[in-house]
Amino acid sequence: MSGESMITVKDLRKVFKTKFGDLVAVDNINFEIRRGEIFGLVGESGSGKSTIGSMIVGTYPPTSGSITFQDGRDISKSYKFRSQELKREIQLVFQDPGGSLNPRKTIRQILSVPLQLFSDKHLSKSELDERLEKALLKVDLPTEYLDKYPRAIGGGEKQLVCIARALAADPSFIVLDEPTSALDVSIQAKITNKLIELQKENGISYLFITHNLCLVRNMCHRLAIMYLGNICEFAETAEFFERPLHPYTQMLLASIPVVSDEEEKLKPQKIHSVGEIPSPLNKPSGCSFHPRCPYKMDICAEKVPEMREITPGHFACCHML
Amino acid sequence: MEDKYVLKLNNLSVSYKVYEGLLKVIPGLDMTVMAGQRVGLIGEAGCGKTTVLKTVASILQCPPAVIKYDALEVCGKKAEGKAGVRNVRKTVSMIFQDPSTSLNPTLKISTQMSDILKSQFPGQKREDYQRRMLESLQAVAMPAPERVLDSYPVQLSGGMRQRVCIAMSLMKDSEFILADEPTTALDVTIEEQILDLLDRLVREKNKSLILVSHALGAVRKITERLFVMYAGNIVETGPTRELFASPRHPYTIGLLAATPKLTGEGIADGIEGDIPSYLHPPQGCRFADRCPRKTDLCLEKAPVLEPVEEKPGWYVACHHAEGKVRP
Repeated sequence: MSGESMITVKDLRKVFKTKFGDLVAVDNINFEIRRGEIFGLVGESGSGKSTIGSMIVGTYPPTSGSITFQDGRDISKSYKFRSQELKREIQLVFQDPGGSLNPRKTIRQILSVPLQLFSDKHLSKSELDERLEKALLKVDLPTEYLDKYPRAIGGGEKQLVCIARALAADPSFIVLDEPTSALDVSIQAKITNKLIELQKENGISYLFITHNLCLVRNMCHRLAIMYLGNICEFAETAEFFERPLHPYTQMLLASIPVVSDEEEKLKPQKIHSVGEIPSPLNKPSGCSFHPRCPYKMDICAEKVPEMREITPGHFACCHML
Repeated sequence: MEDKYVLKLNNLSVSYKVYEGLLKVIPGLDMTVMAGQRVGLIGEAGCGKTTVLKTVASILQCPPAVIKYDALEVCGKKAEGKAGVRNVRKTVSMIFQDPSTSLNPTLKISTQMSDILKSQFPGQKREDYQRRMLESLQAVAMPAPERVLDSYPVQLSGGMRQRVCIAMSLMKDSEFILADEPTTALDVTIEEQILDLLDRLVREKNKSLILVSHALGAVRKITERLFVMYAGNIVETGPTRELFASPRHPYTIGLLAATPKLTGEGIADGIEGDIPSYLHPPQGCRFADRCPRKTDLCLEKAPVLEPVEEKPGWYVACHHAEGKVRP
C-alpha cells in the first residue's frame, strides 16, 4: 500500500441548527485515508459516522475544518459547488438498496445515468450498451438484468446494482454507508467479498461506515471508533482488535454477540455495557463517555481528553492512558 | 428435567392466500418446548420464523393465512375453537421486534401498562395497579420508573422502549415468552443489556422462552436449544452451543461460515441464490437449489428430520448430512 493520501480530514466540525438548540453532530475529527485503503468508521447510531460520510460526498458542507482530496484539492464544499471531475471521483453507496433505486426505472436506465453524465464524449447506443454490459459484469450480474425493474430482483442483487452504479463513474474513492446492514448474512458475505475484490482490482479506496465490528475486522485496513461525534480510538485493524485501549471500544467489543468459543476468548472480559448513548443535544461535560465509563475519574467530567499516540499508529483519547 | 411441555405443535402447515395463488410457507412443522427451556429459532428473512411464532401465540390473521395443525397446545391449553384460541392468547406474552411501533404513540406508558393489568387482573385498586407497574419497570432495570410511566413512547429512547415492552410482557405473569427479534432495532451495547436482562428474568422466574432472531450470536448467548429454519422447514435442531460448534446441515454450515468473525480469518462466500418462491415450492428438498451437496435424490424427495448419531436431541433434515443414523 502506498502512503499517498486520498482524503485528509482536519478539525472537522458540523453543527445542525434545530429548534432545541445547536446540535454538534461531529467535532474535532482528524484522519487520513490512504490510496488503496479500506478505512472503517465504526460507531453506534447517533455517533456522527454518516455525517462525516455525507460531508465527504458533499451532501452538506462542514461548519468548520477542511477536507482535502488527493493532492490538496479542497472539497469542503457542498455538491453543487464541486467540479464535474470531482463528482465523478467520489461516489456513494447507501444502506438501503431498495430505497436508493428508482422503482420506475429499469436497471438499464439507472446505470446509463452515470455512464453518460461522466463520459467525455456523447455515447452512441452501441457504445452505451457495451459499457452497460461491462458495468453489470463487473459485479457478476447477468446482462439480462438490464431490462428488469428493481422490484424484480433480490435485495443482494439490488445492492450489487448500486455498487455497479457507483463504479460506472470510474471513481477513485467510494463512501460505503452501511452497505450490508439491511441484508441477510449469506448475502452480506457475498457483497463484502465482492467489494474487497473490486477494491483490489481497481485500486480504489473505501470509507466503510458501519456498526458491525466483526465485518470491519475482516475487511478494513485501518479503523476509527466514534462516540457521540468524536473519534475516541484510531488504529490498524489487527492492532486494534489485539489491544483495544479506550474503555468505550472495550465495551463495544465485549457486547458483540459471537458464534464460537474462540471469539469469546478474544473479547475483553472485565467490562460490561451500562447506560445509553446520551442525546447529542446535551452532551456530558468533559469526556463525553464519562457517565458510562467504569474507570471514570474526577478529571473526566471536567476536561476533554486529547487524542494521543499510545503506540505507533494507535491513537486514543482517554485520561487514563 | 420434569417432563412438562409448554408448547406442543404437531404437523403445522400455514399458507397465505394472495392474488397470484397460494403461498405454501410452512408445509409441515413439529415443535416442542419443555417447561423452563430457552429455545432459539434462527433463519434468514422470509423463512417463516415470525409465522411460526405468531401461530403459537394464535395472533396470525386468517384470512389471508390458512392454518392447519394436528395439535397446538400452549401451557396445557389446547388452541381449539374460538375460546381455545383466546385462552392461548391470554397465556403467552410476546415481545415484538420494533419497540417504536409496538407501543401506541398517542397513549402514555402508564395507560398502556394499566390496560394490560385491568384485563388480566380486573377489579383491583388503582394504587395496586400503580405499584405493580412500578415493580415491573424496576425489574427491567429502568432508570426513573415514575417519570417513564408519565411519558409518551416518543420521549423514550429505543432501548428504554424495548425495556417497557419487556416489562409489559412480564406483567402478565405468563410462563411462556415469545420474543420476535427483540434486539434487531438496537445498538450493540444496548443489545447486550437487553439480552442479559431477558436471560436473567427468564432464569429467575423459571419461564420458557422462544427467541426468534437472525442474529446468530444473540441466540447463542441466551438459549440452550436451537431450531434452524429454512424456507418454512426446520432443517436442524439440537443443543445450541454444540450445534454452533459443529453444524451438520449444509444450510447451517453455510450460514455460520458467512458470519463475519472476530478472529478475522476472512469471510466465506456466503450461499448463492435466494429462498425459493413459496408459490411453487420445489417438490424435494427446499434448499436443494443452493446446496453444494445436491444429488438427484434431493430433487425428488424432501428429507425429514432424523436423529444424529450419539447426539441425543439433535436432528437434521438432509439426505447427505454427516453422522446421521442410517435406517
